[in-house]
Order: sequence, then structure tokens, then C-alpha cells
Amino acid sequence: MTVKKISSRQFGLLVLLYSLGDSILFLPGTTTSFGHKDAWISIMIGSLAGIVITFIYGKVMLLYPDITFVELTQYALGKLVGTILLLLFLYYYFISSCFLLWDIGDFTVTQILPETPIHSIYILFLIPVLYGVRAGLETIARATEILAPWIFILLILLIAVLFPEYKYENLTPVFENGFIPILQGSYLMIGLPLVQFSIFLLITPSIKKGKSYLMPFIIGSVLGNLCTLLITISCILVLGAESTSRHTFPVYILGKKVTIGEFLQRIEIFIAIIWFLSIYVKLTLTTYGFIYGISNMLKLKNYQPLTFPFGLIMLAGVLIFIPHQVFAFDFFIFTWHTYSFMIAFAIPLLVYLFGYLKKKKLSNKLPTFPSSKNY
Amino acid sequence: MFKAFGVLLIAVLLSLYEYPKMKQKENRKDIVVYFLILGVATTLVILEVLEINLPNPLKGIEYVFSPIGKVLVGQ
Repeated sequence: MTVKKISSRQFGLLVLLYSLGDSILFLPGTTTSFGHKDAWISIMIGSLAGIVITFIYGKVMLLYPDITFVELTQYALGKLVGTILLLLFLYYYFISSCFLLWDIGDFTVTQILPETPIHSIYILFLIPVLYGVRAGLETIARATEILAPWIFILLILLIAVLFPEYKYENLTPVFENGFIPILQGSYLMIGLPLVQFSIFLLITPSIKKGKSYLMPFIIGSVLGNLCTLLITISCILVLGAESTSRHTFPVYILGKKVTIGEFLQRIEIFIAIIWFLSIYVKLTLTTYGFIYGISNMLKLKNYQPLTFPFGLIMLAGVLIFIPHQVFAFDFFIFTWHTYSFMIAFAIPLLVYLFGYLKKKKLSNKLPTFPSSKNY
Repeated sequence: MFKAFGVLLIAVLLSLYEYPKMKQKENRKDIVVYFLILGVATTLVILEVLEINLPNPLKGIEYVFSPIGKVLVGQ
């Protein structure tokens, strides 16, 4: 089955919404609990690091644009080592997608529908995700193009409406606790979302190159981090650093504060809608990435039959991996970023180094790869 | 108990939908992999539905990586 290619602009939009996905849910609260009033500086440092990271990923994509990351790894690092590292890589994204599913389930069950069993949210949310994955990357990109304006309109509305409530003294004094807490806040950005951009390496052959992969990739990630920055600054300005760090979902509290006159109230559900949409995009892309990667590795003709079985495994996975919210937050703060860095960043970096050296050595006779064009 | 049979029913319905499409295109490898993964999936979901405690792989990952995280982030 031939994969239709998505355009450069769609790719950039996917990167943007992917970086928004989980981050606007968790980053405002967690970075503020470490960086306090200077959490916005943490996110700025994180964005700069994101430019470097997406630049490296873009370079990996440019090495051999027409083959999949799976074939590239097995070429660069040898079949055995390549396959082992690929399994770790895909397993990482499987865990990531289970976490995303848990995110939306946990948020809905704690804030919106307290009496609903969380499993029903998982199933209800998984059905459109798996449908999107099965429909293919072009469909996902087009759906994202339709969903994106709504996300941006609601975000802009939220930030604009809160302007009168900004209390600028909540930001001062700057650098109150020194530089280390700011860096601790930036550390929390590593696993979410900076190194997770390597999911796009798995779908490289499906992206039209345009001039380069670098521009849409880097610009998408910068804009996404900018949105997270704006949301975090709004949280700190309106709620104050103490209150922001205390709540699990401070942006939701922000939504509760919006009142225009007497008729526009309780618009926090708009924030929930933004989150549903952005997590949908991120979850669909992550699931598509690892299912596509696994079917590449096993050299199957078609990845589509595997969607629903893997959906069932994801459902079981959420229940096995994350027994309760405390475990999830502990895991996120202490373990996730080091693990992400080792797997999602170090493996593409190794592939790039070895692939680049190998490419230079055989610069006259470039190897022919088995048909990815068929795929 | 009924929940376990419900999961099995869903697996069977899924196969009834997917199998003819794969048989039509005659890729044996796809069919084998599909049933393998469906088998694993159904087993896992049935175990979860019966509320049997399964070991959590994330605890292993936490054991390996959390010392570094605790040093970097403290508390």
C-alpha cells in the first residue's frame, strides 16, 4: 500500500500541536512547583533547548529521507544492535501513548465527570484515536488542519479575556530563588515534549521534503513551546506562583476565573476542549508512529490490521502501567526525563553519528534499500 | 466472568472484520502477526478485567532511572 505524502506545512502544524499536546496540561503546574515565579524563564530555556533538539532530529531525517527510521537504524548500527535499540525506542513510545491516554482519562475523571469509571473514558477516547490511526497519516494531517484553528481561537480567547486580571507583581522579584530552580523547571520539559519529537523520525518517508525538513520542524516546536509559555505566564500572572504550583491543573482553575459581565461564565470547559483536541492529535501521532514502526520492523505489507490489537494492548497497558495518580506524578517528575533522554534522544543521536560516518565511507556506492516505496 | 467473555467476543468480532481483508491480499505474515498480537492483547485485557495483579514494568524503569532524577531535581 502506498502512503500518500503530507506537505511541509501540514508537518509543521502536526509538530506544533504535538508539542502543545501534553505540555499545556502538565507543564504550567509542574514547572511552577520547581521554578516558582520564574517558571516562564524555565520554559524559555526549554524552548531554546528544543531548537537544538529538533535541529538534530531534522538532520537525522535528512540523512536518507526516503527510507524509514527502522531501516536507517538497522543500516547504521547493524541488524542485531539496531533491532534491540528499535525495540526499546518503540516500547518508549508505547509507554508514552499509554501515559497520554491516562492523562486525558485522569483529567476528565477528576475534574469533569467524577462518578464515571475511568475505563469508559479510555475506551471512548481510544475509538476515534484508533480510527484515525487506521485511516492513515494523510487523514490525521487533514483532521489536524481542521482542529487547529479551534485550538488557537480558544487559546487566544482565554489569554485575551484574562488581560484585565493580570497582576504584574506576581512575576517580581525575578530570580528570587537563584538559577538552579529555574534549571530544575527546564529539566521537566525534557521528556515533555522536547525529546519526544523523535516520533516524527518514524514517519519520515511520508513527509514531502520541500526545501528542508528543518524549517517546519523547528518553527513548529518553537511556536508550540511559545504557546505553553504564554499559558504558563498567564497562570502565574493571574493566580500567583503559589497557587499555580499547588493545583494539578492550574489552567483549568484559570478557566474558572473568567467571567465577562454576568453572562459568560464557567468557560473552563473550553480549556477541557482544547486539551481533548491537542491530546487527541498527540496520541494519534504517537500511536501511529509506533504501530507503523513495528510493522516496518516486521516487514509487513500493511500496518492497518494491527491497530485494534495494539489498541487493546494500550488499554491493558494504561491499567497495568499506572495504578494511581501519585505513581504517575512521581514517575513523571523523577524518572521520565532521564529515561526519555536515554531512549528518545540518545538512540536517534547514535543512529545519526553512525549513519553519517557510514555514509561518508561509502560515498561512491550508496546502498540500495529494500522497497520502502512499496510502503 | 461475563466481562472476560465480552473481551473474547470483541476479539472474535475484530477478527471477523479483519481476516477476510487480509486473506484477500494473501499475506501470510500479516495474518500470523495479527493473530499473535491479538492473542497477547486479549490475554492482557482478560487478565486486567479479572483484576489479577500484574507486575508493572514501569517500576523496573523507575528502579533504574529514579536515582539520577532524584539527584537532579531533589526532594
